[in-house]
Amino acid sequence: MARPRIESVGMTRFGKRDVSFLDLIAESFEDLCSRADFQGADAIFFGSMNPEAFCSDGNQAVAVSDRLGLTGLPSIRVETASSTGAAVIQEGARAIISGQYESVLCIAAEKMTHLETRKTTKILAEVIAPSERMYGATMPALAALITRRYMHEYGMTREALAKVAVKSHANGVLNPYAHFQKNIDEGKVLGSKVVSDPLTIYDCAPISDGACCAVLSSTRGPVRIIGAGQSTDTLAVADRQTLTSFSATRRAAARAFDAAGISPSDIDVAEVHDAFTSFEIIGTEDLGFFEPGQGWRAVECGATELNGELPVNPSGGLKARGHPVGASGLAQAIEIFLQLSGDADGRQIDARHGLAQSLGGLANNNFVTIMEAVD
Amino acid sequence: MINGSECRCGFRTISIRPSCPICGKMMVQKEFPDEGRVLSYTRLQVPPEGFNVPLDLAMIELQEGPKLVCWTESELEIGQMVEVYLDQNMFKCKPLS
Ligand SMILES: [Zn+2]
Repeated sequence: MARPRIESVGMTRFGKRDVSFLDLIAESFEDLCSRADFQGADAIFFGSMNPEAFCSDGNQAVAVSDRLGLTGLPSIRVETASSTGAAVIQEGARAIISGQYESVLCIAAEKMTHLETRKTTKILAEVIAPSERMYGATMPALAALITRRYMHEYGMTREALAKVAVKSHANGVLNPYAHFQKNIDEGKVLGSKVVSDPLTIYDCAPISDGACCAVLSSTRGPVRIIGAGQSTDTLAVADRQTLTSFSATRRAAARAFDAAGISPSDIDVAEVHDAFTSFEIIGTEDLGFFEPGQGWRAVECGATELNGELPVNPSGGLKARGHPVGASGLAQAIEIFLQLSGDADGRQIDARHGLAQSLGGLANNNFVTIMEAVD
Repeated sequence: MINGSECRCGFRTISIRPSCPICGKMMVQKEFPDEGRVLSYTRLQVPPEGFNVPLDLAMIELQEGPKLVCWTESELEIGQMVEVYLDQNMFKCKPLS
C-alpha cells in the first residue's frame, strides 16, 4: 500500500487572535508557502468543529478555497468534534492512498476567543450526551469525574497532574506558535482557581484561535504517514465500562500500530490530546506507552519531559500550544512532522517515529496517526 | 425503581432507547433497583447558564450495572452506597442511612 507523505506545513501562532477565521487560515497558508514552495494540490480537505456557532458562517469549504485563491479545486469539510484536525489529515491521507489525488492541502482552524467564555463553553458542551448535559455536566465536569476516579483507583497525586501542566508550559516556551510561552510552577497550578474539583484552571486547555495546514503528497516530503486508526465510543460517558481508560483510543491505536508494523516502544515522540492534564496521562496508557495506572508515575519521574525516555507534547500540547478545537489534531501532526524532519528548533528531539493522538468530544471519536522520518 | 433498558449483549443503561449502542440489537425496558455506589463526584464551579453555582455532580453505578450522572446535595465518598431518587424529574442521590 502506498504511504502518503507530508510535504510541507504551516501554522499561525495560536492564542487570542484579533483576526477573522478566514484571515487566520490565510495566515497559516502564507506560513506554509514561506517554509516551502507550494506546488499546488488536487483537492482541499478542510476541518473546523463549529464555525456555524462560533462565527455564524456556513459553506466554509468554499470560503476557504475562495480566500486562498484556489477556486476550482474540490474542497470538502470534515468534522469529528475536537478531533476534527486529525480527521482532516487521515481523510487527506486516505484520498492519496486511493490514488485519486497526488497531493492534497489539509487545513484545520477554529476561531473562538471573540465570544464570551460562557457562550463558548455552552457551544463546546453541545458535544456532550443530552442525558449528561441536562444535568449541567460540562467537559471539565466530566473530566473531573474521570480524574477523581483515576486518582482513587491508581493513587495518583494531585501534584503529578500539576507536573503535566508545568511540563507543557516549559515546552510551550520553546514553541513560537504556542498560545502560552511562559513557565509556571506546581504552586501556580495547585493554587489557581478550581474549575471542577480536583481540576484547576491550569489543568484545562485554554480557549484559543488558530489555523494550520499541511500538504500531503504521494511522493514528496520528509515524513511518511505509516499508520492511521480511528474508533468511536458511546456518546454518554456513563454508558462505558470504565472511566479511567478510553477504549476508542485503544482500538484506534491497535489499528494504527498494526498498519505501521511497529509497536509503542518504537515511538520516539508523541503528541497526546491533553484537553485536561489527566487526559495526557490516560492517553499515554491507552496508547501502550505505560501500563494502566503507571502513566502518572512516568510523569513523576520525568519520563515524558523533553529529555525523558518518551517526550510527550514537546509542542506544549493543547495546554500550552492552545486549543482551537478543530485545529488541534492537525497541529499535533504538524509538531510530529517538525520533530521528524529536524525543524523543531529549541525543542528538537532525536526521533525517527512519532505518534499523534486526538480525542473527539469526551473521548468518543478518537484518532491515532503514526509517522516516520523518510531516510 | 428506575426505568432503563437492557440488551442481550449485557449492556444496561438508565435511558430508554430502542437499540443498543454496542451491538445494535433491540433493547428491552427494564426496571433497576434505585441503590448503587458512588464511582466519582465533583463540584463544578462554572456550570452552564441556568444551573446552580456551584453544581454538585456524581457518577453512580446502580447495583445491576447501569451508570448515570446525577445531582447531589450530600457530601459523598467514592465507593459509598447511595439511593438514587427523582426530584422534579431529575435524578439526585443521597447516602443510604
Ligand atoms: Zn447490545
